[in-house]
Amino acid sequence: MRSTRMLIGSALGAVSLLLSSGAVAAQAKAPVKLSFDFPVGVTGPLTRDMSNLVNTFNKSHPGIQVTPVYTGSYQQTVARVETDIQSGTPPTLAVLTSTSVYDLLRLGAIAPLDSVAKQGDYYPALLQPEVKGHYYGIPFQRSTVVLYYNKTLFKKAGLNPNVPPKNWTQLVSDAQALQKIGVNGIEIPTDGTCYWEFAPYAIEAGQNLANSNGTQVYFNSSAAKTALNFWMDLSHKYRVEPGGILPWATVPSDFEAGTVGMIVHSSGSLAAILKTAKFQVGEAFMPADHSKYLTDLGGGDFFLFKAASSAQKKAALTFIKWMTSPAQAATWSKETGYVAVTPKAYQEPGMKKFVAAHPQFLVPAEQLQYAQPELATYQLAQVQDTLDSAIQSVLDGQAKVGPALNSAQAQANAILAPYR
Amino acid sequence: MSTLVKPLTPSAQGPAPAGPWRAWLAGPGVRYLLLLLPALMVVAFVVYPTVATVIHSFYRLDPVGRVTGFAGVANYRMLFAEPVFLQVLRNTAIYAVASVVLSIALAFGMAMLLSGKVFVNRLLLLGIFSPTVMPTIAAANIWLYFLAPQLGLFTHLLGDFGIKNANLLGEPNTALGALVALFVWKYAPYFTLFLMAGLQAIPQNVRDALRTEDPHGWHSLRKVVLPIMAPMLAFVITLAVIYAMETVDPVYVMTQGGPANGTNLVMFYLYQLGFSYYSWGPAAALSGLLLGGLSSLSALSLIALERRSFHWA
Amino acid sequence: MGVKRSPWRRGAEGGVLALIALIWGFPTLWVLYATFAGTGTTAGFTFANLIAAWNTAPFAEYTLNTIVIVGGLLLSQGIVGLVVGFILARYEFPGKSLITAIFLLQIVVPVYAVLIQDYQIIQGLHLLNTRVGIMLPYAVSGIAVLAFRQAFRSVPRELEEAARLDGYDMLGVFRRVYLPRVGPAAVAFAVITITYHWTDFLWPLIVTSSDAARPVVVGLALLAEASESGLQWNLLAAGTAIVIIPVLVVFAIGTRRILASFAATFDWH
Repeated sequence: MRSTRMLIGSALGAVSLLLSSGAVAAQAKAPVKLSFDFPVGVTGPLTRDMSNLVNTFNKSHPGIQVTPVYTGSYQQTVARVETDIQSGTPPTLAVLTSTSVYDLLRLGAIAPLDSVAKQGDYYPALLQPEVKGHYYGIPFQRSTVVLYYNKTLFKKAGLNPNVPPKNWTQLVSDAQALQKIGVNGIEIPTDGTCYWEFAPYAIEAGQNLANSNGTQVYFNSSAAKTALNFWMDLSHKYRVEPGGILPWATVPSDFEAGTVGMIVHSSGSLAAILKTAKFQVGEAFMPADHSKYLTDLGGGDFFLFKAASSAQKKAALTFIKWMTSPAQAATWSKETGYVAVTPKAYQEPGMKKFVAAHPQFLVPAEQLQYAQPELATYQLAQVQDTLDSAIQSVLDGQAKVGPALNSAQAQANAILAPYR
Repeated sequence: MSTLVKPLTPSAQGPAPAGPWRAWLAGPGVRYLLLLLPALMVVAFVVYPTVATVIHSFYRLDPVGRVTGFAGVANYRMLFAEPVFLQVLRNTAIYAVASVVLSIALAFGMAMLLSGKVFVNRLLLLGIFSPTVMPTIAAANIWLYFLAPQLGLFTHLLGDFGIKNANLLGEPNTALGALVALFVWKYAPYFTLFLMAGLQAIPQNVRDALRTEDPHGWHSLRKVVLPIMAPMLAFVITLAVIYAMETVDPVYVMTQGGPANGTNLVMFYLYQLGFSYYSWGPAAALSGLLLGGLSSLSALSLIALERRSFHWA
Repeated sequence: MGVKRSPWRRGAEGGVLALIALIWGFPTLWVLYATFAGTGTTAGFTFANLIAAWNTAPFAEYTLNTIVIVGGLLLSQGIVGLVVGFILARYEFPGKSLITAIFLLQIVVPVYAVLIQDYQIIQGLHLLNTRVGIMLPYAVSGIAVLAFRQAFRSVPRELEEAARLDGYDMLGVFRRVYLPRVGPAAVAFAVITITYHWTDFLWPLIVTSSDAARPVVVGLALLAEASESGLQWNLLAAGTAIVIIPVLVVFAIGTRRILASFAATFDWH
């Protein structure tokens, strides 16, 4: 009796040994394949930088093969990923706006990443949002809304090139000085998803655009109205900004061409701007409403999809940890201008030297202490579009601030009602 | 391909002997078999989706597009309760009417100018018809580049005329105007080709007679040319309406429906509802409406064409 | 033979046409100029923009996808059109009008009207993001069926009877008598199909999610999509030039023939 058991036991042991050694052999032969959707247009240097980074990873990790797929803008990428989820073929990993988390949960598509979130040394401000007790996004290329200014034009306009405007009043007076030397004072992009550039103004005026669990927005708060009135005043009252809707895509081009003194844009555009601009580029915190600097966060997080096999999930964790480690975070920040996601990245010797030469790259990291979360809700695209159109209709003179924001709030309430 | 009929005497290979296999091939069974697969394909991708679109528009659908219960007309009610949709309808109506009227009027003029001219410069043809031969996406990219504020050439040209900081795509009315201009630019030459063919139907001697008797041409245009051209015009107009209703490419590239939904047209809105908002219920309702509208337009264009040269009785 | 018009009027007409040609050609010329003219420091003729655009997007892959999709559709629509068109033109059988109506419906209901349903079918077949998935809803063309039916009908019956007397069976008759006489219809159908499918945008856009299946038109639309750091305008111009230059060259070489075949597409006698 006993011997039979032992026999069976050892046979089972042998079989399992065989199986596991077979698995090891298979692993050595065929690496775990990960598909990785990354939001970048097909043009642009980021594509090449990302390919280099992934190649480095693949070479140093023979058991894993990551294939990046470049999927366009954030909006396009999230639309694509949701499409792929619906067809049952999601990528293993994707970098999506951190705000996509509610819709991805609604589709039941993502797996929590608590282990990575808790053992990494990420900036606490970047680890939001935590939803239903879990961390789903791991910060990768996070940005803040910043103010870029042309130091050469500042000098020409009789302004101190080392003192960017500190509050809204100074912003207007500096812009007026710039306007006098024949360039536009300031340009703030207002097409597409302009809620993002709008949020810092609303936050500074006292109220962020949404609560922290994705179910309530504050589009018609008095803060939002103050902010939108200020935007209107920039072009209509002070005449320091061209009227109409300014595209996200042309504002940096105008800045690089020296036809505008200050622009509001993503900190992630810094490297691209520095490459083209032929003048000294200043990067500054968003000017405060009264006394306090504030801004909002943006940019993309890593998400891991449920449908992946456990081997893929394990490999994906390795990849995420590697990509957000201090060395890689420093590289990515240097190449783009995004915040390096961990403070340790700024202690890397190469990075120390780099930021000493290019202090602009430190601005977003220093700004993190003032940063608030980006507008994030369920049915996000629809809710954002509601606010975007309201802002645009006001800027184009078709609607008044109060009614436009009230109606946006009502529409958003209707959309979000089922999630409350 | 040669239009000459080859001599029909049996060649060296000759016609194959009529075996049972060949006999079966010539029989009625094989015909049904050959018709079956193509017909099934049409049923699968046209007939079934048509029926399903109509049925789904009366059901509640979840974010993944699955049916979760009967909804009655709730989807339609939701669609029409959406202020954006009403704006989309208005945009589409303005865009379609302006595009169709302008492009057909211009095409008619160009057809009159071009027809009967034997020696038209090739460079001239190349200039006029180059928009026709390129994909709409390429045309939209060209115009985006041309109209971009500050760096676009058109903006500079306007600047020379004293209009500073022109931003045509940044203001709803001018942005919709730019889309109309793109439509006219792209399709007026294409419609010209159709109308030129229509003009061929007027016999040469009639044309010559008209020229001497009615040198200004207004009378003959109304009394002779238009009646002969009527079927072709009807066809081209319905075609233009369909193209205008289906416009989505330039919206996607140039404006993404903005600013403030000022250029959001019905096809782009359907794309947004479905593939960006995952709001499948209202999307199904809009599909149902489009199905009715577009299908009757296509049927109209077929009828118009049938009156000219197409016989299927 | 025609009555001479005053030279003044002819000049005016020519002038109007020239003006239209100038306005119509100008935006395209400008983009080509922007592509080949160096900006700023590197003035003069340059291929730099073109090369940069070629390297940043997989245009070769996009082009191959377009060729496979358009070629595949031409083949499948052509074969189905010939076979079905022949049977409908030449035979009487029960259910014929129903089958004709099914193919008519394919013309009447545009794919755009049943976009979402077709998308869900392709999704159910696990063919999203494949070239086959893009082609499948279009595999049968009602226009091709009707065009070929019309062409077969206009072949005189006497020719067929003569061939039969010579001992040919149906298949032989089809090959020897009918097939050689549908050339114009085939050209017309090919022009329609090629122009429609190589420029088609919305359907391939929603079906594809990676470069492996994306046709060139969808790839081109992505060029205009700004990432977080803005848009590279010179690459937008150059990428567009990559796509339109071949088309414009072909059109410049065969201007009259291409315009004539466009005209033939709706003249199916």
